[in-house]
Amino acid sequence: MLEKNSKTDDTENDIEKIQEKLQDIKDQEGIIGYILRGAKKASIDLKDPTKIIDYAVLSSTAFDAGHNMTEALQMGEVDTIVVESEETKLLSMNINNHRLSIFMEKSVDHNKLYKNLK
Amino acid sequence: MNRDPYAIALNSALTEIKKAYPDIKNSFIFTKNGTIITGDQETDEKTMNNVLESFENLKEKAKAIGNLKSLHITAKNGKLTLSNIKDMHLLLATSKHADKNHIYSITHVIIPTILKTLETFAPTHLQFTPPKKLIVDTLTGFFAGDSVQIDAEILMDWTKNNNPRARVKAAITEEQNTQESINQVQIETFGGNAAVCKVKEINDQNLKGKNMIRIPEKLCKTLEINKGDLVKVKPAL
Repeated sequence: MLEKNSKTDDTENDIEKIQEKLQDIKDQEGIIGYILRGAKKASIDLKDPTKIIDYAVLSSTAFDAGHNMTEALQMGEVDTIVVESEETKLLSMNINNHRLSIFMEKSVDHNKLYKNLK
Repeated sequence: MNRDPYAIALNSALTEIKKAYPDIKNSFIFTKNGTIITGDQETDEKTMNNVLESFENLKEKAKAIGNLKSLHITAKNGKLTLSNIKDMHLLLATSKHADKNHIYSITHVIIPTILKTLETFAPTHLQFTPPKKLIVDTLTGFFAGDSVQIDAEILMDWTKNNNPRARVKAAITEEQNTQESINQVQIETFGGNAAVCKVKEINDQNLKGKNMIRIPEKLCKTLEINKGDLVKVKPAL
């Protein structure tokens, strides 16, 4: 029981650390916002709040599509997903059983963000 | 999958690219409207359709950030790259440690060059005629002949869309584009049997406009199909 509590505390601490990092990231130039979703709660911070639903749907679809595609092609578990449009891109990844999607302008180096968060 | 010369040329290109870059595990090309043109020989159609379905769904939702240009997935055992090339999508599934420069040269140089070259040979090739799914009706009797029968409207539609050479010729010679009619069709069953045969308009008024193909009984036996089955039909080049 004690061990379980300790593990839960570790995970919560990890998530807190990630949220701290996300606070720094969202102030960087070119970052549009992020969605961090766990089993029980989600944190959303987007510059344009009117886009919350569309971006949440896109984030969820990206995870599902990534899972289905890699499963069909027998590539194993998904590590990162990057969706690019003409001007915007989305980086999605799993961190400590949380689904994180960061929306950014195309010029932002998503590899740098990934290294910072992992 | 498309069996026209353009698709065959692309298939050969993908096969050769795979030989040259062993890190490539799967590759296939499809149009923006979701028609698979060709894929490497080791990727079955079911896999391609599964991937395509997920991609089409993602493409739709990605409109929230603009038109989807590319998709990159890194997984435990490999990488997936989906690129926009002109009005097509190229999917490459590679090993995890595949050289980024190689992938870039395939998606940004090799395949676009091949497409451009093919376009030079057949400028209007991109108007792929997707096969129509038609319901089989058997033609019996002494006058059944060896031609299948299809709705005149479908034949007209194919004549408009599937006659690039006539249009090119008309453009070069500045003559009026006299549309040649479709004389032959390719029939493919869902069991994998296929045949090319002559085609005529449906002559029975009661069967017109019902999305039917009337096939002589003998040919039905060869194709292992029965009345009421669905078959894929497209003009034969």
